[in-house]
Amino acid sequence: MADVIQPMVEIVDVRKRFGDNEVLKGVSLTITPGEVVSIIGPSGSGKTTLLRCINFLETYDGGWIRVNGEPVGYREKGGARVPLKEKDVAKLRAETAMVFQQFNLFPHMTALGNVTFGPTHVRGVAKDAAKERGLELLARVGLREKADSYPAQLSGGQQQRVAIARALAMDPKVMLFDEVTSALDPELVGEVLAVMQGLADSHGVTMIVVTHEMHFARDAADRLVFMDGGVVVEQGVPAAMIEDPQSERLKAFLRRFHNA
Amino acid sequence: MEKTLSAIAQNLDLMLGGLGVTLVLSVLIIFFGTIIGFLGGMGLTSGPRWLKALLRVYVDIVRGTPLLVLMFLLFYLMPEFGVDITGFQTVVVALSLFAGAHISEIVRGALTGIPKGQADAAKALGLTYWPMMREIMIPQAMPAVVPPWTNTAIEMVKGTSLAFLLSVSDLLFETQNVVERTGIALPFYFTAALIYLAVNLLLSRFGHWLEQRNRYAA
Repeated sequence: MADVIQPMVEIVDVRKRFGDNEVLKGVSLTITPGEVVSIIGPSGSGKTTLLRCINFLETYDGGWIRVNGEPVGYREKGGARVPLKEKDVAKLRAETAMVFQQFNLFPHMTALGNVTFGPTHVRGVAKDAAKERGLELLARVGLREKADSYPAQLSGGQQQRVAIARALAMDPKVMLFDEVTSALDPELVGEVLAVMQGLADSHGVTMIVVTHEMHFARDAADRLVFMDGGVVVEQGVPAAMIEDPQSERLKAFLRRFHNA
Repeated sequence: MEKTLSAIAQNLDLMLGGLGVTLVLSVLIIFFGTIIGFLGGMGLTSGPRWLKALLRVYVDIVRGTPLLVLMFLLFYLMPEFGVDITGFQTVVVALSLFAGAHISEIVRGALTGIPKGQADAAKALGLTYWPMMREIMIPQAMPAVVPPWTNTAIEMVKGTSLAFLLSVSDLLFETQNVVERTGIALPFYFTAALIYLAVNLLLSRFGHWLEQRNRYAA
């Protein structure tokens, strides 16, 4: 019997509208365990919305998303979609982790507090064990010595690295990165990308990275997905796609990008 | 002067008895008002539409009605519904509702001021509503809640003095009694004022302490 790898994330014909504006017009995407996928596209292309649908921070109106085989946000009952209970949604979210453009660290907790919060309050990990692991993770992102600092005392790049450690602390099956370098000063982008590159190289966790960083998309990702106007226009091997774009829309996007 | 001082000394225990009632009223009102206020504020920020509408009506009506009118309304309305309500209970209910409406708005404002990303981050970690409120939202709202909360609490301590109109034997009621019995007015009212002031200064210190405790590097 052939081994069939169950996809880690399965997105089937997902649709989403905000009022009159249909932002996702039937997006399908299958991501295998350990894969690193970069999603690029102009603003308003729906890439962030798609990412936020994967952990149900946004609801979706049509189609299905499954993470590790579990349907996200809804279950099927007699052919109809029924919203999941809050605690089932929460359980599902705990299996994924998200890193945000604006970091969104909890300002009333130290760096270490931010990292240990999820494990202790959601996973039920003992405080000492969570602390030990938290310090390891902070060391991994190069911030062991900032464990007792509050977010306001850290630079943007440091905050984002803490946010990555916080996400890793949940031992997620999937990590979602939402334009995580866009709010950073240019000189701080590198330190965050380096951490992400390290993660990508380890292939220990499935990563979906919405980004404007073309270098990261090309060098770190296994696959590149280009979205525009609420649909996936083109996807494939990053280097090939960037050097030899097939669709007019990707060509235009890359041209604008290089001219910028 | 000597006569006045000895009159005060003789009647001080009566007044302190009244103070006891005032303190019990204050504690109950601030306690219930705070609970109503936090629940109301959360409902106004993140409740379903019907709850928001209901709370909005409550807050607007209660905030827009003089406290005394509210108290009398309650006192005369409840028996119409077959509910026997004492003066003491009326004061507690009326002032709790009043404080609750004010604190609801305070909490709503503070919660609204928290960046949306905080709730996103909490949910993304797998938190459900109540733990998210308890661990993430309320602690961040506290620095903005505490100063106006202290203000409302002080207003409520002063507001308990309306209780004497329903013959509740609070500090003002007992003071009034003593004044009528002794025929000395000013020194007793002055003493009462000092006692109210002392209570509120303590409350103000408590508010300051709460503020310090809820501060974090930002």
